[in-house]
Amino acid sequence: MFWTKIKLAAISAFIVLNLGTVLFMNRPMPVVQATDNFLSKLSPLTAYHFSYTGWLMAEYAHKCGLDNRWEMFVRQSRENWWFTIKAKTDVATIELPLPRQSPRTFWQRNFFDFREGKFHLNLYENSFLRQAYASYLGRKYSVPGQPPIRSIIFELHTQNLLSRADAAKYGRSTEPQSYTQILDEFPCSP
Amino acid sequence: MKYWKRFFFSPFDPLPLAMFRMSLGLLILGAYLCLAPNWHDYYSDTGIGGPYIDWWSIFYFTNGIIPLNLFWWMAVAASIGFTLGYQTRVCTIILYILEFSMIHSNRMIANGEDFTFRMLLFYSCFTDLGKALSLDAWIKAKKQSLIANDSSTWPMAWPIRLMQINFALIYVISLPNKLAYDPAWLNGDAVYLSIVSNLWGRWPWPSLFYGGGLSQILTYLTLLAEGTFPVLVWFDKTRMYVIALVASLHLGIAVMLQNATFFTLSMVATLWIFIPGTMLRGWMDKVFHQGFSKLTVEEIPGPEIPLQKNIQRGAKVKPGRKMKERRRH
Repeated sequence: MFWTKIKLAAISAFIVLNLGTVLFMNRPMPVVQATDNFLSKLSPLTAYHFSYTGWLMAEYAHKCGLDNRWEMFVRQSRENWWFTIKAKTDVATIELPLPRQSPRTFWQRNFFDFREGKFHLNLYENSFLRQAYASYLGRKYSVPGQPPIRSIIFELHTQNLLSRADAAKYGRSTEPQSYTQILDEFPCSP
Repeated sequence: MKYWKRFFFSPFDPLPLAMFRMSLGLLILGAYLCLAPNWHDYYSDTGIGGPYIDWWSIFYFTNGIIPLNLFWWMAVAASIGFTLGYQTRVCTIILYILEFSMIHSNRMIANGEDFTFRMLLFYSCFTDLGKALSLDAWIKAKKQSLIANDSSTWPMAWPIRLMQINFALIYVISLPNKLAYDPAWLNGDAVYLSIVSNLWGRWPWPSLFYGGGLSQILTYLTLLAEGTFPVLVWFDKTRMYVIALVASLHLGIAVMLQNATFFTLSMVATLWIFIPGTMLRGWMDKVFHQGFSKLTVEEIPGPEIPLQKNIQRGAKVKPGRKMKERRRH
């Protein structure tokens, strides 16, 4: 009986820990700001204890896999955008045969490329990730006997979406013109 | 305290768990099969992620010792085992370890379904999903002459409750963010913007969403589904309506949007654990004529009914006890 009670208490604590962790990892930004303000008013030692507890919870979430922020389609983009990723050699600048910028088979388009959309979304938001990807592309597409790849260029194309009323009026959802800018050019080591 | 115990520590009908296990297993298997051509590029230390692998990953510790492709084969084998319910707990743990290793090896390639699979598999490690409609249950029943529906062997509810609550929290968390951060959710443009997006949209007739009220109707239905599900799913009278609403929402996303198919289908698969076992047994009786509802309705608890009392009342539970006694002797 005693051990059953202990077991139930331990499981109850585990339940509270997990649900608390999910809520902690997904606390809204105003709550984060309010907490930071509150901590700044406390003594350094007390603030440290609170911060340390938060860090422990974040570590637990990270290790067991409850650290995701659940935002299903929270923000909608007002523009269509896509990358053109190019390799620059001493001879020419060529468009690499990558998903989302080269002809794909039925299987690639519908099954094997299923992570490419989110991958590009992550690349769009983070220059460091683009640099890591450029480094990988430089390695992958360097062929012995061919001119070495000097740099990888990320070209970003954007095209504004029309409002629903304009889309109905003009019979299309995007503005006719698109805009191009070179987002990054990462040198590749020989 | 009484309600806490009743909610978390009563036994849970294994039939909805079996349906959930099979649906989730097929999805995980499908995801791994689709990953096959890119597996090495995505997760090796010479791949997209480069050498910067988080140490909290089995790929980190086995780098140079175990070939990466072996993990893919393990994942496929474990997915098949999980789906069929063979060595279910072992397969669950293997899939969980591989799932978090994939996320930690290359976070920039992680998709929505990875996070959902990881969360579901984490909680599944604490329960046995193979108590019904599984090879494990079949083998055990054959060995010990147990009846398949013996409710004394049902798993405890708490890991499933954690899964259910975490699933409901996804909507609780996402809905206020939608309303706070993007006016498209308030003016009814959100579905239009998703459909015409070159990243998400795959619906062949986007012009249906240009004018008129279709985008507004679907946007508000999405908000309604997300707003009502976390509350109404806990009540008998409203449960099936909100389950149907959320299932329609996610199946609609699977049809209309690309790059989110596995994620949105994993959400549909999780809905099985909200369907009362009694109802599911009734459906399966009608379809298969197999006598899934051998136990009477009174003896099979719904999510709100404490089982222990029913076990004491129920007559059909006796064979299970007898079996236990026989095993002791």
